[in-house]
Amino acid sequence: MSRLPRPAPPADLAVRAGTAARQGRRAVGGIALAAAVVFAVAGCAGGPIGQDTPQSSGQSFVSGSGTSLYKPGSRPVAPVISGKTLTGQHLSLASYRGSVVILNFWGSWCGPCRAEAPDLAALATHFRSRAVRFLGIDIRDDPTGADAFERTFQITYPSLNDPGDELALAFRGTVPPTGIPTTLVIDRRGRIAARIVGSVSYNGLKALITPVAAEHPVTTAGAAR
Amino acid sequence: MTGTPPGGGSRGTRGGVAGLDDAAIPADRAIPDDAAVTVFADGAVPAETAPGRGTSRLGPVGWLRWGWRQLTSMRTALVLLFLLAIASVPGSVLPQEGVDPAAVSQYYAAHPALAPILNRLSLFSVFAAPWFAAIYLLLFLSLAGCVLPRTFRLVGAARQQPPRAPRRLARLPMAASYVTPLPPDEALSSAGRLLGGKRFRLRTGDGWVSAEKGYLREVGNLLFHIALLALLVSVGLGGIYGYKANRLLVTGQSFANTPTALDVFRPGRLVSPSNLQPFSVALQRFSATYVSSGPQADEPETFDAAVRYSAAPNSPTRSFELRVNHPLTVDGVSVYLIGHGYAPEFKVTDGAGNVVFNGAVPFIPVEQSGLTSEGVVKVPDAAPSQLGFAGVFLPTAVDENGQLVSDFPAPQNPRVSLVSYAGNLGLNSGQSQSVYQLDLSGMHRLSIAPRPLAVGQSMTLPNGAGKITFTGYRPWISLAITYDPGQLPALLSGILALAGLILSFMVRRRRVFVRATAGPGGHTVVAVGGLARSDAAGGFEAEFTELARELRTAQDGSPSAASPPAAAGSGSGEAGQPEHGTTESVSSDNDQSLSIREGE
Amino acid sequence: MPITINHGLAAASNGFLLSTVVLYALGMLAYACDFAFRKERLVAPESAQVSELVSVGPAAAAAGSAAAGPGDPGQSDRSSAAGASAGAGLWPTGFWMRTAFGLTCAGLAAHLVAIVTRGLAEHRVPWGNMYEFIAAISCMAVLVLVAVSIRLGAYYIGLFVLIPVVFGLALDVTVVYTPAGSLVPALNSYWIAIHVTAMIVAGGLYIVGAVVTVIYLIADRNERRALAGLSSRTEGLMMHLPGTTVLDRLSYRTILFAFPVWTFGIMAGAIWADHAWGRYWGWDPKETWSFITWVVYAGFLHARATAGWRGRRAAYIQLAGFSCLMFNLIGINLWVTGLHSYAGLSG
Repeated sequence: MSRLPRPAPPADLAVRAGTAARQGRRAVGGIALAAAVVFAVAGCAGGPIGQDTPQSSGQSFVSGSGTSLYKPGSRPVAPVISGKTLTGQHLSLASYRGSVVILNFWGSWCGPCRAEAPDLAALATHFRSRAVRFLGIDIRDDPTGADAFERTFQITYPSLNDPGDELALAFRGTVPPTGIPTTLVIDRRGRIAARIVGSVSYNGLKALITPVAAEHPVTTAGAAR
Repeated sequence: MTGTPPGGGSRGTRGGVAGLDDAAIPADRAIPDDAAVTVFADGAVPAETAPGRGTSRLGPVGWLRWGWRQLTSMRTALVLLFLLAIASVPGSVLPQEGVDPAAVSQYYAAHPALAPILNRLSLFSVFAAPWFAAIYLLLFLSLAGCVLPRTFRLVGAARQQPPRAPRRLARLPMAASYVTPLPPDEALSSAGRLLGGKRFRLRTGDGWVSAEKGYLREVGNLLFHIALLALLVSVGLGGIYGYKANRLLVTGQSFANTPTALDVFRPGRLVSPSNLQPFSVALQRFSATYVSSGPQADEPETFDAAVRYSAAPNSPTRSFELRVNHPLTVDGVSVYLIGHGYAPEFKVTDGAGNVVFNGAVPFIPVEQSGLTSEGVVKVPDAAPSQLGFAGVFLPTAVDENGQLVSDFPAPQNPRVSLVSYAGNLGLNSGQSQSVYQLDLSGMHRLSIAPRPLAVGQSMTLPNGAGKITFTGYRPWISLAITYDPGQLPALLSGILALAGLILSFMVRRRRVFVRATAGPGGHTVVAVGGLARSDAAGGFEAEFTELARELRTAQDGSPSAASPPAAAGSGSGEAGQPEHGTTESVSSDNDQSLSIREGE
Repeated sequence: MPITINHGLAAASNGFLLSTVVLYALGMLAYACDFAFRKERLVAPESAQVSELVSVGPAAAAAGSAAAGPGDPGQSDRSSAAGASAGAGLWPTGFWMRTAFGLTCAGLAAHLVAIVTRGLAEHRVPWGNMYEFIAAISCMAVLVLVAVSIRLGAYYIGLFVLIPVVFGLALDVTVVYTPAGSLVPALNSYWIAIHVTAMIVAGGLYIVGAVVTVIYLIADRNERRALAGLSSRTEGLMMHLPGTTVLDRLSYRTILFAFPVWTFGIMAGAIWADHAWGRYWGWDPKETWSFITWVVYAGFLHARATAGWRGRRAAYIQLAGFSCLMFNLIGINLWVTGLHSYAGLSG
């Protein structure tokens, strides 16, 4: 099978070659941009799967505990929460102004909460005379079980009942509890000085409370910007 | 590896990307060598090869360029497509962590030796595996590298003119000729008007008119592929900024969308848990009906959850009927009803006489036809020792051959049967436990045998350990909470992709050429030739024939006489010169032009 | 409120489906008789104008296509050119072909009645379980066959399409049969009319495409053997079928129709999944395999645009896609549990 001699390509092809070269260079930039986007996107995504194991279903713990400290000048203001205690009384955080408040989110069903409960009870006793007060917020608990918990660990400080998570929600935007247990240290001026996610130890929490308790409200105000 | 390195002087355009046609195939691919294709070779231009490279060594840049060309070639795209398909297969036959973690555990139990190996290869989370990501990323890189230059080229060539008409129109796949009394210029201008009226893009020259139509095909093609890219970006962004969560809610309970309130929380990488949408939902009532008889007995007919919700703590509360296929959307977040069950209520009195537990405990269904549910009650504050109970809840308990089973999913005869334990639950040591599982390592079983309890009945535990009373039951629902900001962009990308696909399939790119030369006897011989690019699906013959007829009619005023088939057959059987003679011949038969080509 | 099933209509539906199977089987026989008894070569004119042009010269020479010239695929195809649709209907010629086509159409009518009565009996769209699904998809395949026959004159594929249809329907009415019933709540949505319908339409088109591809491969092998001077078992059969170009083009056209419909079906399924399950894509096995099917057919379309991959290789790719489709539609329902387990076969 012999073939036709190939006719010369149309002259306008040559012209197009030049423009194509320019377009080629432009295209490289576009490709680089697209590649960057694709890589960045796909490299960052893919987090969601695998955060839970079969054994972890049924819990409310967000893994990844830790302590966050806030320097005096940059402490977020704690929301003024109020609610009913487990004994039915009405209580507001506003009435604690002037004291250092240790706010502890807990539940009687929660293992780490039970582990830290004796330490919290002991610290509450230790700091009682120095205007450091403890307040609990009971999450997803039935009042009877919560009562039994307080009896078991001899918790003397009150706890607010939060069945609808409104109190937890109040901290959204400032220093929210991201797991149970979470402990917040609120200074005398009502600002959040520290957050510990996960169970606390006696010495660890004491070391956090002591400097905050030593802060004088006036000096703190002077040190603020 | 196939393909020529850049120094080889190939015509280096990106090999046809899913052009779904023969567009822009570089010269290193074998293409049939004939006039038609040469006329159409506008896509294949040397983009970046420098002349005179010859066979010099490739530097690193040269290798990169060569690698890039390989990546963006059609063949690589094909290979990557198939790899993607093959890679998805294990994700559908092996249980996947993200879909059914329980099945994964079962697989581990069933294949203790094989399972860890599969896990190492990420075969239990295929779609999140790095090698899977590599495949689709490479594919989209290849796609981007092909599509974007073509987009630039399309935009730049938006006003590109059709090519000149070839000399011998008879050699095109479709050719026709006729005679008209009009002078050549008029014939051409009339042809131009007709073609222009049909929205062909025109180019005129000395004695010829060239017309092209169907540029939308490339537009559709590129739209489809770019929309796929956009889809991937939307999905990725949705994954980064979105989250999924689950929550089980007992009737009478409410919850707010905070991390502490969610049972399962899977945030994207850039989701800040402290900034979830602060809506809250309260379950007021749940009702379900089931088919009572017939071949579909025990199957659910309707589920209905009456909830009250508010978008933020200070927003007004609204009511909503949550059902399957009918989710609640609040503040951009979707809440779906995905399951339901029963939560029996218990009151536990410990050995010291204190009531230490009084609440509902969700039990999880283990089978669907009777909703037999299993659960665990933990009483860590009982004295003298902690108590634990594990058992079943049977909505409609019947005795079947001495065994208690649930016959129907509705609570027509609810019973609870529990095994009792005492000892150390393991909670006080700080261990995180599932609320649905009892750690028996520190517990001993109490000697009281489990027996079915009706509502109101109690079981007194031996040795003064306490008493447990089954006080009632309440339904629970399980909710799936999803926030995916990339969902709407993904949908729009999908729609655009579909539109582009249909456009590129429906539009054909075709060219028509008209040449008019003065013939013998004062007449003008008009030759019309046509070519459809990628007309693998057919359809151009009819259009061309119709066009030729119209051209002739427009220039003649009288309908053409049908040509005798023999004349056509013989006329084009040789190395055709349809421009001779006065007969109209519409050689619309491929093989005739083929035979012409063959003859040479 | 339970929906009462009209058992009379359901029984009528079963009866109609049985007669469908019989009619299709008879049609198959008639198609086979046509092949056996037809004297002249079955020319498949795909455009009316071309038919007169091809009757002389090259077409006659191509009658003995086994001895055709050079090896370009499609050279041997003298008879049909580019497969343009004439726009007008094309009717079958010859007694046996007419009988076969008539039986097929009669079977199709019975098939449609069977489906409609089933839907009326259940007061819902009649594709909610495997039995109904197979009935619907085979109906679609025969619809495509009839449409392609009339519009493109491709009567010659009748026998080959009916073989899997009859086989599938026979299994369907015996082994897979499920009595009429209501939809499970999860399926009870108007989306079933959109998503599943699209899958059925695309599935029927894919079936016809696969059948034509199989014929194409046989024809291609036949041609290659002829070129090599060898004889082939299927020579006689291939005399009655057009050459590879026409077959290739026909199969390509069905995929061109099917692919956008399948894409749309996947999208509709994703939207429905989002309504029902809270996420639009969760790598459920059925979702994954429909994605795999989509990718393989996309590969087929790419292959047709890549030199060296057209022709036989593309045909194999299409068949691979079809296997994925069959596994997706049937295998997944039977063997793999997921959110899509609506076969209605278990329990």
